[in-house]
Amino acid sequence: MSQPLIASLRRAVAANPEDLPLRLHLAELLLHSGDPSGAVTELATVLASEPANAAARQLMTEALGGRPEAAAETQPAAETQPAAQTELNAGAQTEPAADTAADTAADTEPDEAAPAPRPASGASFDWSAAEEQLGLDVPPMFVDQPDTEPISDSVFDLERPRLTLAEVGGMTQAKQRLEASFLAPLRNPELRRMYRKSLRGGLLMYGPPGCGKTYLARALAGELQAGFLSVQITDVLDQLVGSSERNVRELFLAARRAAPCVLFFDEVDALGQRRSQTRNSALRGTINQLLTELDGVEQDNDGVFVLAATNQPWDVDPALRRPGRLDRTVLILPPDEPAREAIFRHHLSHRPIAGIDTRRLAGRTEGLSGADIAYACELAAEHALLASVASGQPRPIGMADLEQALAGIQPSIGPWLETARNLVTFGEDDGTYAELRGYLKRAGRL
Amino acid sequence: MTSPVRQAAALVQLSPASAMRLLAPYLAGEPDDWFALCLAAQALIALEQPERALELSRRAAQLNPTDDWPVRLQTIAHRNLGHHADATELARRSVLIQPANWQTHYLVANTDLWADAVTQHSMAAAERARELAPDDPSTHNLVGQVALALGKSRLAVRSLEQALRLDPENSIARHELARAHLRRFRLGKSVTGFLAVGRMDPTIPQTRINLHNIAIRTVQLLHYAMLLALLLSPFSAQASAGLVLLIVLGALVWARYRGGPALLRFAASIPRRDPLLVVWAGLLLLAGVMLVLRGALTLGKPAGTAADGGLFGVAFALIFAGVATTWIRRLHLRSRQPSGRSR
Repeated sequence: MSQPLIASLRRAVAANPEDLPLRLHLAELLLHSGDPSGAVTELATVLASEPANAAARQLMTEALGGRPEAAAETQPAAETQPAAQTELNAGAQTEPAADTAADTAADTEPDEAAPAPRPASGASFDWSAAEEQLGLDVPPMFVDQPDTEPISDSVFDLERPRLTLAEVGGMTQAKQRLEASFLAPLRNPELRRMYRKSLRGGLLMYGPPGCGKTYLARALAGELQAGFLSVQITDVLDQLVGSSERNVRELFLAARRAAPCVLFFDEVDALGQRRSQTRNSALRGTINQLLTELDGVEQDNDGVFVLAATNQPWDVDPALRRPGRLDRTVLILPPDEPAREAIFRHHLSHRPIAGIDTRRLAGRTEGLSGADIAYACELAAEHALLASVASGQPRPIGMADLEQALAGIQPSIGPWLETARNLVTFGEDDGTYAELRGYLKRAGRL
Repeated sequence: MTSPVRQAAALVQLSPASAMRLLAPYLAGEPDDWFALCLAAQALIALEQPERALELSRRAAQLNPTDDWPVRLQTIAHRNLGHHADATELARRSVLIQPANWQTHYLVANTDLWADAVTQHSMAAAERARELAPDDPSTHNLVGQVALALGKSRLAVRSLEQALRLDPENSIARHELARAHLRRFRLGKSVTGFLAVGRMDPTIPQTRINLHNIAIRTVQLLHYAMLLALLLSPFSAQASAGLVLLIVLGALVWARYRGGPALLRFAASIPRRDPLLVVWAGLLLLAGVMLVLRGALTLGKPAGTAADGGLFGVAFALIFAGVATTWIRRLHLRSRQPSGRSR
């Protein structure tokens, strides 16, 4: 049974002590994961509130050594056997674990499906069952220090996105760049080994706001069939001394534990701000910790793919972009025509529409971001709704509504492009922003 | 301090939107927490929502009238809304509440700067803030800005240089220093300063505007030099040619070695932004070429030959065409000026 799940349930129960079904569920998990004493504690609390709770009573019987019939038929013996008992028995060299499990089951209640119990003898005496009956809690002989500290997984919600890059409309260039810089080496381990291409380092996606950086990151995680941990500054930064650094460490521990995992830093300019520009000591420490974790000095980052996204790449600490860290950059531009068409379709598909020519709309919305298009759809819906209210007759959203909405929308990426123009004009021409320079030239902005 | 407020305090400067996301539900449950109200007001000011910030800071001031923070936040909200009289009054009130806090004096001078109403009182407030916090670069920066507004360029340069010594990455101080150099007509220092600002902080839009202004001043200088060359030419064609050559070569060498590729990239963007400036500069350069040719042709010969006269005439015409272009350009720019003042 997954320990993180139990840990997370424990916290949920601690937060809502009155939630008896949740506590019951925790007790059940504890019992099945080999912690009957933990289960008994939880069940006792449930029964104190609801003495007649049949499920709690049944589980309590099971936890205290009894074996309900239904459970005996469905649960395999190895799972019903508490892990601690198995370890104890293995350590004492008395009998193989499977046998012991069978014996325990046989001691409590005979089961037709189970193998016939062997006659008890002095050599096969079940010490663990006896200890349990006597209530002795014998500590293990040797205690190993765990490799890692327990981590709080619930703080960082691990997702498994099903979205893939093929499902992202348009954005061909960005997808090609992601394929070349990230996916191809991952998909071809033989070639990667041949060329001695390391998997170290991460990818920084930058571009104007509302153009799908986060969406693309999710698709990339789906493409890799990896877990997805999205991190924002609120998940990490804390004013208490040392807390932010600890949060960063725990975050990477969670990612390593969940490997393969995409660790995605959204708005990395806030968390990884230039240290020279910040006087916030908590943030400085956090950035230092982030650099250490990215380097994987203390632990290997194998299977942890670091992605970051920002609207303000000029604010990201240059140290974060050194080789081995976020050393590859991909510019995510405003959506191209096929992408705009897909975005229109996405935002209109669940609304009542009639006669919408998405290709025409995509053709006349050059320069609008995905967020602008979403806003246009929202405005068009609002317009149709108001018209329906006025006429007392509901009508679908039409082209006229959308065109009216689009007439009032200015591309929101204008200020970003102005800043980007300054960046490529006055910044160091070291090739970092070559893609951006090319785009601005093509767009006639340089 | 409770957890969401503590976290919001850590986030308010770095990510005001995130801070607001934490504070909004907290304040719904605890509407009388003056500290959280102040944090929310600070975040809203950063998010450019001064009306709501004003409302929250007012409530915080009612809850804790002895603290200067809510009053300072009210001042900033009023200032950003353009209510200069209210902002000035509140800034002075914050000094009365907490005279030992440099930020209250800072705000007095800063509010005057925003209102374009800088006086000797503003300078006194800025100086007081600097006395109270001599290690804070922003106080030196403020003194420099106030001095610049009062026309005291030397004091401005000294203060801004001190601010940069304390914080070499302070792009605002560097920008103001470049402005101070421009005021003193030190075009070279000013250009390098603005280029550095553009490199350090591309989000400052004034950098490009000021570099453009310098380009205009440079062409203006060239124009004056041409007129001087025309005045000199009856006496010596070689002298006028030499003068033109010297200025053009000097500018090119400087641009190559001090301005660097960033300056050339900026220069390449001027035709799109201000084509008439390019026409103006082109006419003057052509006139310069004519004057140089004239100087070369008359080298060792008496002035007054036919070729000499023709070249002189063309140069003369070009220089005066430059004057016409300047006028057209000015009229064109005036028609593009937005009504009212923008900051």
